[in-house]
Amino acid sequence: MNYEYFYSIIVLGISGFISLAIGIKNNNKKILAGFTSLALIVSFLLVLAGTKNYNILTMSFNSFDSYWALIFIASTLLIIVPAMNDIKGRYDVFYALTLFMTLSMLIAAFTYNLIVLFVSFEGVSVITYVLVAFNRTRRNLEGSLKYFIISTLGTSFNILGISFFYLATKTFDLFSVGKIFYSEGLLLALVFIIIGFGFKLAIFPMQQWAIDTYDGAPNSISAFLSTGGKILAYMILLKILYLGFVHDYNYVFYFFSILGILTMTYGNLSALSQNNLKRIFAYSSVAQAGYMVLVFALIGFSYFPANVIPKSTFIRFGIASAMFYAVVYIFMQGGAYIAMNLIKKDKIMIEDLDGLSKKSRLSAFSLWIFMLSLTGIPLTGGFLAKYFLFFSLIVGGLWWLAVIAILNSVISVFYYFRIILNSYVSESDNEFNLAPSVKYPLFATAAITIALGVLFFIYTYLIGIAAI
Amino acid sequence: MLLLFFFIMFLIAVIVSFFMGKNSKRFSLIALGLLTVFFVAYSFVKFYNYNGQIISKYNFLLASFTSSNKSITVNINFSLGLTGFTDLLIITALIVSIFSIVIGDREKGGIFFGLLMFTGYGLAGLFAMRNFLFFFIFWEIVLVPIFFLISRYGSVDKEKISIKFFIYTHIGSLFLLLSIFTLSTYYFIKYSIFTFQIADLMSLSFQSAIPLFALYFSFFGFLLAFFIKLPSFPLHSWLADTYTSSPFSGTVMLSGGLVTMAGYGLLGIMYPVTGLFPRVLIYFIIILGLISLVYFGLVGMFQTNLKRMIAYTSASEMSFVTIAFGTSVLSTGYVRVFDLSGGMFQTFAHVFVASLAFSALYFIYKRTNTMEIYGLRGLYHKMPRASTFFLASILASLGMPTLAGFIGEFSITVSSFQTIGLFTIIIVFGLILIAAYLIWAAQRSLFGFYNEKLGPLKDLNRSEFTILFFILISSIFVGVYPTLFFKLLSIYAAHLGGLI
Repeated sequence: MNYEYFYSIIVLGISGFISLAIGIKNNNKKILAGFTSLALIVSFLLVLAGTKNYNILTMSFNSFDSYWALIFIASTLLIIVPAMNDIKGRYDVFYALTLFMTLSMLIAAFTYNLIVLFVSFEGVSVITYVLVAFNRTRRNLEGSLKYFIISTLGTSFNILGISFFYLATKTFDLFSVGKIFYSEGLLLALVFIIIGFGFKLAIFPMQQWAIDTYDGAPNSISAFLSTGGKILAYMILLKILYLGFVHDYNYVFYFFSILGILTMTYGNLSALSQNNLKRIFAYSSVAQAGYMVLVFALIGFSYFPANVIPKSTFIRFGIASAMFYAVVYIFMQGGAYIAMNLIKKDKIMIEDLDGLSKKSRLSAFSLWIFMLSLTGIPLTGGFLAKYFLFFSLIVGGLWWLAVIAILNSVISVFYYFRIILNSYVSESDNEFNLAPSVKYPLFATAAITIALGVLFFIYTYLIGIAAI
Repeated sequence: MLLLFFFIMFLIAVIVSFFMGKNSKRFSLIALGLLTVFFVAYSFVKFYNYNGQIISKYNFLLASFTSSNKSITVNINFSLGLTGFTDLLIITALIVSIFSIVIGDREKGGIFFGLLMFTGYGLAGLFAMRNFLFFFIFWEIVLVPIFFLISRYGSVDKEKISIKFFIYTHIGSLFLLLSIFTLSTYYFIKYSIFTFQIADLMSLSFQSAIPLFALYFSFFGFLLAFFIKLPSFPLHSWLADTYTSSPFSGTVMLSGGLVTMAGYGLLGIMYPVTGLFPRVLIYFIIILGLISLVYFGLVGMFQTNLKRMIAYTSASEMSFVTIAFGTSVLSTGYVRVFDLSGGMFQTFAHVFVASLAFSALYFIYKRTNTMEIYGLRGLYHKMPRASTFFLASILASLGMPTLAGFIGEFSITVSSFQTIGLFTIIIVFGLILIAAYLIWAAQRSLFGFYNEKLGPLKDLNRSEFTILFFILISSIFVGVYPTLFFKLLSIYAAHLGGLI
């Protein structure tokens, strides 16, 4: 057994305990945040160094898996510094928990066994229940309770789905799915897994907890839940649907084209009438999930273009655009939530942004970058992400889905641009929190969002590694 | 390579102009002046012996992927290139930036002029790109500074109108993008390579091989985007609000800059594949052009706000481009070349007409604080110079010979007679309509007894006079010596029409 591939995971676990040990002596948030960032960066580099074609048991360490691992580390790294502002009290526990959470996510990134995927996902979930309630205010506890109850419901559906999957295929290992023994069981498994992970991914009928939880949680935790947590569920679904339902399983296409359309339309339309900023972003993250699950529809699609474009080609494009969307989404959506730290209030309304550009031009500019990126305007990551997604849909022959998605993307202009207008047209005496730990993460995230929109080679590189 | 150098210098100038504060206006003007001189000199050298092809090509492979069995290739190129048409359009983009900046108030600060420079950069970049991905990026990026200009410096209902403008044009852009993707996908099916090169995707031989459904879908996307920007008849509702609400510099940029994008899209991008248009579509386009011409004329007649009126006039002038686009597909030989180069010339010359009209109106508005016709009367008694310029702009708008507007409208009218016959009478009717109401408006606002409610008014000062004089002179230059431009356009048109 070759342990060097696990170093990145082991480093995170050990650093978690060290951070708890530091906390016994002194609970200084700067030292702890610095240490946690260092641990995450070391782990990041170890993942990069350990990327080879290597399979052990049901774990795999090739470029595809490492890419997701890097995304997850980045999604945690994003909230380390902003969390210094909105987390009160036990910093050692908080940072140790984020490290353990990242550890769980890395395991999920590398494994292809349903049981391990399930356990690692629950590892993340349990920690996020705690993190949402970390400040122990009324809003936190309410959000956490809702999240806990609904998420547990999703978990039970997941267990059912995985059990039926085992009945149908006689394996938990996604690599060795071969003959189907019980095809009705496979359909049941699909339905339960969609419901279970649909709760975690907050797609249409299962989204309401997310709105309340993102609204109630501390800003940086909302940032994590709507990016890292969501992308984790997304990646697991991608693995399950791509490898587990390989037998031209059309239900995947039916379910996800319908769910995708409903999700994005619901998210965009609901966001229009909202005035609470964190709820707007929550609905926007629902809508973004709607765009993302269109890739699953593409994976399950196998009719029209089969005679002209081989299915393996357009699936490769679809997976590449999913991977690209995931990384861009983390920075733009996470950035939008981090920007909420600028406002010194618990309940953040859209008017609280008035006059931001007068107080700090660069912070306002960063916020505009996130909004433009979420809308899909060129020179930001969101443009390339969204339109490569539509491109892969068209390559796969699903042009009508792309048209619906584009009309949705037009609706979203209304509420994203309302935020831009509020932040610089209206005059107001609002006070903003412009501490360095709020501002600089924001600038860095905005810079990354722009960089992702200019570096075209990332996408072509991803097409190369998008074969699981 | 010099072209690339030009764009890099331009980009640096744009970025610097954002941070210059009070000096931004002066800096932008100097930078744009130098860039214009450089680019005009460059085009004189390059286009001396022009043969209608794409010249000064520059191609750089930004990213590519080839699968191990060579079945998939993805290429993302950054390509530049100039034709006779785009060369002139880049010059107009520079000139319209100068016009819009020169009439802006110096006190508005770096952001205002930076945004105008950015728009100009987007326009110039759009015309030079020979790759659809970058074409689209520039097509879309132009909207962002205009959005900020309107929403920050605009007048009534600026927030609502800026979003309306953005969404309206955004819809068109997105369908344009879907069309590009569709073409790219079918290019892959044929040649197993993904590319966004305009020359590859917009070729007759390739497009005649793709299924009809995909072909028509792509036509729909392209035409929707271009007709929204132009704007053409049913898709124009953003026009008047946006022109009225935006600051005058922005209006000059919109009417002189953004509509040329649509003209370029139709005649520069779309034209090579018009051979595949079904007959019905061509007639539909011609009818749309005719309806727009007359409809905007009629709507313009009933406006009481001079800015709105000129906005509609500008739109009806641009419907000549639609007519030229439609009729030139039907015609053959030299008529087609004449028609096409007339359409291109109209796109090009419209910049001078619209800039003059809006700038003259701006200086009148600055003093009287009203643009309502009924609020103005007898301005000529108090401001003879400003009134003269405004009258000149009106004459230019109605297509007076020796002014910029004439040549394009004349050649389109003459050559469309060859294809649509007696229906040309509708064009003539539209022209008369425009002339009638513009002169009527001039009579009501400039002549007659002076409206004493306006109080004492000062005429143009020296710098304002110089600005308007400069714009008028350039308009007259285009009007009396059109050969310089028309020749270039006709060579390119002959190449497009298959005569060279």
